[in-house]
Amino acid sequence: MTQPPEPRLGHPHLGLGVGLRSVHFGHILEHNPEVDWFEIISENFLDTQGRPRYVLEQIAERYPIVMHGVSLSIGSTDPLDFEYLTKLKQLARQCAARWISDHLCWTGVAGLNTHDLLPVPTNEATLAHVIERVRIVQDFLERPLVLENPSSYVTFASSTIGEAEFLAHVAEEADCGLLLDANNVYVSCFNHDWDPLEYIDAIPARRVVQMHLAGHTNCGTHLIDTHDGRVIDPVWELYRRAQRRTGGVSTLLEWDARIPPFPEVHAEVLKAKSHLAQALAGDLAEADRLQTPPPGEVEAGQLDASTPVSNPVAFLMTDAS
Amino acid sequence: MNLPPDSNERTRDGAPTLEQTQRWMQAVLMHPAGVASGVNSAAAREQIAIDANELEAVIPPSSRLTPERRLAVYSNAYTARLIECLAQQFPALVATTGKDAFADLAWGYLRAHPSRSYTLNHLGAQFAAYLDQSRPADLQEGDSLGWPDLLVDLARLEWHVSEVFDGPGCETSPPLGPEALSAIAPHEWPDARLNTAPSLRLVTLRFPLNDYYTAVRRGHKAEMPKPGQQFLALARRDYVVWRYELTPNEHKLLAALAGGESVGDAIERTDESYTAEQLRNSFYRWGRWGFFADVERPAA
Ligand SMILES: [Fe+2]
Repeated sequence: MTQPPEPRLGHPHLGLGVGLRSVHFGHILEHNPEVDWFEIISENFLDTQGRPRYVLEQIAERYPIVMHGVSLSIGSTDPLDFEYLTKLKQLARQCAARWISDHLCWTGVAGLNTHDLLPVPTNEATLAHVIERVRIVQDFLERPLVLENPSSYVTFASSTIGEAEFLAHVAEEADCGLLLDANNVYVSCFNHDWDPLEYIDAIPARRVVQMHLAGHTNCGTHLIDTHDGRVIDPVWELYRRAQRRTGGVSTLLEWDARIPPFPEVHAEVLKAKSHLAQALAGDLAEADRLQTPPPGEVEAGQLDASTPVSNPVAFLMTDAS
Repeated sequence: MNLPPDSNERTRDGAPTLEQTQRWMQAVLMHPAGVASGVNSAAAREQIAIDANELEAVIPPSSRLTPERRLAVYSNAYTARLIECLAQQFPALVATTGKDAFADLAWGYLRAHPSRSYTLNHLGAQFAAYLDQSRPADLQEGDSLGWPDLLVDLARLEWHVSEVFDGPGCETSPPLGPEALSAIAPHEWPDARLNTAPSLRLVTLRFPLNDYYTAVRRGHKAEMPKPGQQFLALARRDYVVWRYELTPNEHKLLAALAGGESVGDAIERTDESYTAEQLRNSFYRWGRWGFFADVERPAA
């Protein structure tokens, strides 16, 4: 058993950051917006020797960079991909990444990649498997890994441990950090009939290095993590509750589909400032249920005619025009 | 905190292992006919032998959704997500076929060539070859080039453009400009070797697609070109991919230079219609466009 870790595993509180997306490259290079930090999707930069890499070099000179990946597949039963890890390590050196995160998930098996973030059955066998792999990855990267709770749409009959407790075990036993996504907590808890406050409270606060915020799509019977809009009030409430427990950690807004101009994305994350101040002032009531009512029942007519797509990845594609 | 005992009890209980669960779920969500067919497929049943009406044994329902509908969130997203990624890699093809026809082609391709990489960058690597091999049989009569061939060439062109965009370039080590080329003494030319720039790529098309590609990428309507050979050179400058049309002689010359031949040998491959004046102009333009990384002069 390890010593209780320093808050945020000793990482700095970077403030309020924005996910770096290629549609905003021009704006950022030209206007140098006053953003505290940027999170990049690692896979966007691993294999390009062209403009994306050049832009990243410029941005990394001016802003702190955090690397967020989608292909580690820490929960998969396929072998770890050391070619991928080697490139990840190189990129981290080149952009002076403050930390490297990915998700508690698997992306594929038998050599295939679905490019989705698929949930694992949370039981003892999976726990041992994930802890071992986190240790191997951390040894290789020579730094702690930071794991995020994903949004999910199924649970498994073979799960015996709550997801938040599972993450807590992984973090404590493998000595890694956590990226707590308040929107994912809300989405998964709605989809699986879990209590989001219990979820937040079961996360070991000192291990939380970073938080994510994002918008989702309400399909009536379930929520889909579409990263295509504003953060709703109940998610802000979960954010405040979590930050009260962490004492304040770096916050990042993800906006990956129907991406508006940069100032609008930036303005959305700046809303976190007052929520964070409230949380840290300690004058929040310790509620035993969400105070903010969930959005009302969605009428069939209000539903998006097209099927919303979870975990959008098209923004990962470079535009070679 | 104590780690819960590391046991396989549940698997001894008959619950599926993590590997079985993952292989099963992947077979279900990647099945082209949807969740129920996926659960009943041989690939899924090899891992977990249940029927679609027994899904609750693996995936419990939520208070609002059946297991089948919960899994469908993943299977719907798998298709839609990857088709959209492919559409972003082949925008001119989408503009040419229309969205629905493109989605059909893309879906067929993704079933034949599912992603095996950590990156989506290579997703479309085999798309042109797939379109070539999977062309409809009734359009395959005779030797004349038709609609499927045009799509194949357009896909090839788009793939080359994205490879040049992401590949190595000359941005940090400037290529030979026209001045550097004219500094090569006349007697050195025949035996000199010009190493082509890392981004330079020669493309031979069976349809003159260059202007068509430019127009549809700008969102304009454009007439579909009739068959006709076209030689293009692609090169990247300041992180932007440029396309240049070449004459047949220019193509032969550049291809020979790119293959490592000396300037003299490469010129031998062109025909006599290529005048000395044209030759000089070609080299001047290629110098301006950054086609050559450096020159190896003959040993004195
Ligand atoms: Fe997230």
